[in-house]
Amino acid sequence: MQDQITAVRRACDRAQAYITQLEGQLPQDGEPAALYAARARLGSDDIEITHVDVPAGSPVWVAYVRTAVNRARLYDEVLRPLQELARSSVADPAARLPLTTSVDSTAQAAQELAEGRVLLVAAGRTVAVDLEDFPHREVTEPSTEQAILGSKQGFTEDLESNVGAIRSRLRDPSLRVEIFTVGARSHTQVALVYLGDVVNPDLLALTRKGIAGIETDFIRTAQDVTATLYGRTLTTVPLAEHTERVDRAAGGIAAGRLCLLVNGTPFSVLVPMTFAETITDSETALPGLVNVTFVRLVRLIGEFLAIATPGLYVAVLTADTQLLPTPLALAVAASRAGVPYPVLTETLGMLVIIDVFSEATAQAPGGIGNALSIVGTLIIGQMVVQAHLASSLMMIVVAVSALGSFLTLKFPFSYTLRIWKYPITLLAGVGGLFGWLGGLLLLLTHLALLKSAGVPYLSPAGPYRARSLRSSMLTQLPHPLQTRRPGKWNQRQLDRAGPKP
Amino acid sequence: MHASFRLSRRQVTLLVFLITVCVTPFTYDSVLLLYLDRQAWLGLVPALAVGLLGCAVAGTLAARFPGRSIVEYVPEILGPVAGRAFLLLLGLVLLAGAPGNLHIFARVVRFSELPRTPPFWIAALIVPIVGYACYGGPEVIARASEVLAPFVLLGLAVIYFAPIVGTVVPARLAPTHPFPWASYWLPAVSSSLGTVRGFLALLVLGGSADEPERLRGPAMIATACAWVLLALSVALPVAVLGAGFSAELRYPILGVTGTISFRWLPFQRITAITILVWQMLMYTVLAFYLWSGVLVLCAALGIRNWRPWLLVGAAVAVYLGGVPLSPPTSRDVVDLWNFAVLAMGVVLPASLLLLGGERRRSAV
Repeated sequence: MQDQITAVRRACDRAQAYITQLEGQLPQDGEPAALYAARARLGSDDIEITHVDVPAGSPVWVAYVRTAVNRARLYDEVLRPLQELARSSVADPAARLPLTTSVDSTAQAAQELAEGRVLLVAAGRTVAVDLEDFPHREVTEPSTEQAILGSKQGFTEDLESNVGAIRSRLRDPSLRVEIFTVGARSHTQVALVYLGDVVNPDLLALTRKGIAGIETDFIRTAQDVTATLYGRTLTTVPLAEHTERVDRAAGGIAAGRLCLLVNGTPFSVLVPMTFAETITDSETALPGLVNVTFVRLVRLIGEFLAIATPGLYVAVLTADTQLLPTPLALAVAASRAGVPYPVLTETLGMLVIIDVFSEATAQAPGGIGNALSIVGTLIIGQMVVQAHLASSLMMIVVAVSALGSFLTLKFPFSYTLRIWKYPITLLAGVGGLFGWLGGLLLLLTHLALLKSAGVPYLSPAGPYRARSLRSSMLTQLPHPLQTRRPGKWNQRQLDRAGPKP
Repeated sequence: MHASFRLSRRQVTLLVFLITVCVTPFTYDSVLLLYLDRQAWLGLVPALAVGLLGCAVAGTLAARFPGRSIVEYVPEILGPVAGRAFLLLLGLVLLAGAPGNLHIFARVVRFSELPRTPPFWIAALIVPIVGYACYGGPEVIARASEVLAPFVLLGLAVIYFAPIVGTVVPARLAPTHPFPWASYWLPAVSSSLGTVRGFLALLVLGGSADEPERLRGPAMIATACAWVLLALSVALPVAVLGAGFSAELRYPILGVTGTISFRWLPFQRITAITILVWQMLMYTVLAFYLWSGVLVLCAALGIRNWRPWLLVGAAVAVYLGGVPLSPPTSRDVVDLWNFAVLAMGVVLPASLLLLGGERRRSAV
């Protein structure tokens, strides 16, 4: 064993000498030095180097990363055919293998190994065969976007299967897939998927340019890419839509949006994104327009309640008590009897506590999370009221606010709602209803100021587009009845039955 | 480029409407009642004529100079020196609109909601929010106003039409003198002539709108619709409370809304809705005056980047909006501003129109 290690080390040293001597040019003398050079460059212990003897000539050397290659396929598709070819005295057996890529330099050889390809050296040539088999998850049901009547197919971490899943739903010749490699060390593949004859060309050019300009060593998730492309770091509002659902992504592409898929990320990113996307999605399978409209209005009201209820409570109880009808005012006073501090303090304190519980429940593993939510809602809530730390009405207010923030369909937007309720509540405490509305107007201004990839965030409500507002926000016709795409994304082609390239 | 913005025809029309409908119920109703008693609503008729004329002039200018804002075409017509002088005066008139409106609104809020808060603090709370919208430019103001518009219209419908059910006595509105009632109008002219002033938005933004040649008609319709609501705001207190009692109230429209109560609403009185609606309107109006005043003044002074100067404009608005003025002084200031609006918004632009046409003919 020790002898083998010593031999390998010597080979590595020899390879390093080659690298220095040839300045990156791959040695092509038929010896495995090329492979040892690549291994030396990678410096990993899970690289295997072996050979297949060929009676008619020098042996075929094979190198691969043990943890990244499908070894069953390696045997079936490379080693066994090579042995058979060798028995028939073929001079260059590697040349007979299908789907090989020529390798010209040590750097390329190392990169090919790192990406899970098998390197073969035979008859003075080095080629790579794609037998990559990184471990990946099977397709599962989306966990953050569940649809009762919708598709159950979610994305996985594997880029190719994700692109394939979209292709299976959009078998259109104008579907374009552009693949970029981003990250100096991670070499993460990023796929741009779009309909070539529909997507806004300015958006496409902006995205291509943005991806080409990303200078980082490591890409962990799609968020790293989108934050660089479309993000504004100081806003809490998500400017790109993340979706786990294949049908949602395919629908977005069909509507003329741009889809980004990042290898290793189990969701896609759709741009542009507007506020309407936070309330529209999985109800599309509901029968009847009225149902769809109803569901969307409920979500809209939920989002409003999430952000406005605590502030309204504070405003009415601090500065505008005369607004309440007398019986309600008496009930509120009775509820607050014994609470020792002002309404604003009580509300802000409870909002912080409820956010702590929300985060704890979200972070904790499944069973513990459920237990935490029971502890939070039933036990702590009751104890807080009994100890006169907060009124029972306050508990209702924070519960409504918390529930409303989870009605949004886009999980990152729930953070927007949760964060913005604090300044609104604070302003309500300072200026009553006047301050409360001031806070809401501040949020409205912020949303009106935002653009997602050039599209105003409040579109189609502001700028007002009647057709888009009807068809893509307030209600939605079944796809066969939608003759035009919602125009809010500045697509090149709005007519769904438009000319094909 | 001082003004690289683009608005839709619908957005400009909406701004014309919102600016027209905004402040009058809290300023002119009591004044008109004072002069004209039960026929106070008739005092607004000359204002409508002026408002429509202003829209016609501003709309024609926009159609004549498509794709350009007022800061771009005025120096072309008048020459650099006179053009700058014109823009300087117009900028001052527009900027004065922000503290003027703020002054009135801060007192209304203090009267109805925050009796112990000085107007300065009320102004200081709303102006930063408005300034944030101004920072984004007219597109942001217009987008936010489009989102607010349905709520404003719903609120106005509740405020103006709820009293009609049951409590209105239309006979109280009948003029005491026979037609043509000209004797009523003259005393009201000084107080009401500049009240319909949405044309200022058309004047500043019209040239930058899509299809500016088709703006005049919608803007005039928007002005007329807003005028109906203004007339209602003056007529309703008379019809509900009587002319004598209304004239004694500081804010007659709040007197009317104070009489209405919906048992099914969690609010005891709809006064709160009135204030909330006016706060939404005020957001648009203040933002427009602050932004346009700063933009036009910067153009007049040759300053290309107007955004940093918003801070100065906002500080001036907060300071002047919080300055205590006696009601007669306040009324005199408003009257003066009204005449300035007429001069800079209607008379001089009409001269520009004639001059521009004359120059074009001589060039041909």
